[in-house]
Amino acid sequence: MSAVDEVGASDETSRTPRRHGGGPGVWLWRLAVPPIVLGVWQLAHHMRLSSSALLPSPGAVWDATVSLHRSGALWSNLSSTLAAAVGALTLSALVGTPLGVLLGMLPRAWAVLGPYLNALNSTPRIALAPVFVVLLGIGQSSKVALGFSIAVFIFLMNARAGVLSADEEHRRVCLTLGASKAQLFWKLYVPVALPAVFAALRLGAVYALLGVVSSEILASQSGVGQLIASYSATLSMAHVYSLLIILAIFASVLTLVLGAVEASLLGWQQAGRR
Amino acid sequence: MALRSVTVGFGANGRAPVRVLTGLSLVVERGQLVALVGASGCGKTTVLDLVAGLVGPSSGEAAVLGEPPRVGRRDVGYMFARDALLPWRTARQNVELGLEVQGWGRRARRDLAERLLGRVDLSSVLDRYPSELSQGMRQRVALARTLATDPAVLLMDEPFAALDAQTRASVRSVFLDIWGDELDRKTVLFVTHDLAEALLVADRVVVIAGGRVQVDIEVPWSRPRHERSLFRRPDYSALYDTLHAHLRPGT
Repeated sequence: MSAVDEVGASDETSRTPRRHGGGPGVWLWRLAVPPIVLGVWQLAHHMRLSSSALLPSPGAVWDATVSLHRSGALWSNLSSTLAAAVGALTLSALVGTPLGVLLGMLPRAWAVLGPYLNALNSTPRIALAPVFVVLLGIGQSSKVALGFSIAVFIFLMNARAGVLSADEEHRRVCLTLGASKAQLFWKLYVPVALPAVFAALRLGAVYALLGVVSSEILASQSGVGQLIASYSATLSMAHVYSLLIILAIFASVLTLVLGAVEASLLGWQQAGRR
Repeated sequence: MALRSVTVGFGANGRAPVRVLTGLSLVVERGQLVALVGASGCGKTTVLDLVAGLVGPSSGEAAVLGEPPRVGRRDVGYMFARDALLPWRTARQNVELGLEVQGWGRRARRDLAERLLGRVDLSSVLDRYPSELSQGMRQRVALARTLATDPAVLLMDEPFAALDAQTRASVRSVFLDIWGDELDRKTVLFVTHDLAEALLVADRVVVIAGGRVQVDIEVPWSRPRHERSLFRRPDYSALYDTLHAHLRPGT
């Protein structure tokens, strides 16, 4: 049997289940969801199921979006929010991933610190927002800090879980080839943890954004959260819904981009599924 | 390589250790290919782990090329029963792993990996991931990875056990060709549960039972050995039966 004949003949490959994540059918259904939601929304508004102050029509929300765009308030505040969210996400990844990998490699350190980290992770970080504002001021830093305080644990926990999933045989191979602790970190544990880190990246993007917007709602000079707070105070719900929809769209785009980056960097996973 | 009255035990949670090797002694001359055979759990793999420095003896002495075993020695290579290829690395990158660890330059690593993959007939799949390769191909990549660092001592733990009979014969023949071609042959400890395979590949067959060496026999036939002609020899059956008798539990 030639080498080429054998390629792809592995039982493992043929046993790998098909993923149902794409295809034209799924995309058609996905595109059908917004018109259906808009239709139901319009119907609910038309039937006056709720007061029009609380449930404005889709048209009113569209008008609010246009007015936000024309006034220039939308883009300056949105860019402030997104910059803080991306900052919080980047910082969380840079701090949480190596820490998580190290804690996965050092079970004794995890045995000591694990309970405290779990306790810290279970505290409602929003309560710390005033502390961050007092410490870092009302600008971008305090927003980044709150987003970071939430998202960093996602990276830490996921990276550690990724390391724990490492195959013992792989570790033995690296050890017998003479790998040092630092080489084990870079050549085994970081690549092993990468799929879990990408899962953290997608989840962390959402949580970093939530942290930043929450911080802006409580106290800030700029940002979508600050706009939402001021429109909520005057019960301008069309503007509030408009901003929430815009945030949701940007969060979806961010996770789609991260998914594409994941697919290109983790090509070896796709190779096994082809 | 010399193991003298070596005892190895494993225990956990304060329980009394279970002795896997009990006073095992074995001396292997440089360049010999010694097959270790025995029933499951008799301690064959523990002997390899001991020589590789992955486990330590609770008593007795062990020396490899004149030095105590230590994990990660450059002169000792270990090929595991499973290929254990890193799935995020291509075939070539897997072969390069040990060279990277030793600090080889990129160009030199690539050249050697390509040459070795060529020797195991895998030149056409250099940039394929393990998941795209058959089991036999993966095992050949693992063989190339083990040989890449050019260890003087080679530990092989049932390296072809996961393969079907035809692929096993083919990969085994590739290995024996490479080993036989070397001027300074590697010392090989080859663990197998297949007595016929042991008689086909080894200079000596050592039967382990009860945590120690039960029988240690020189294989009298010259190389190359061919399965069909070997099996037809009248003295083959006699030697096979003698060894097989010692494999039975309680002997």
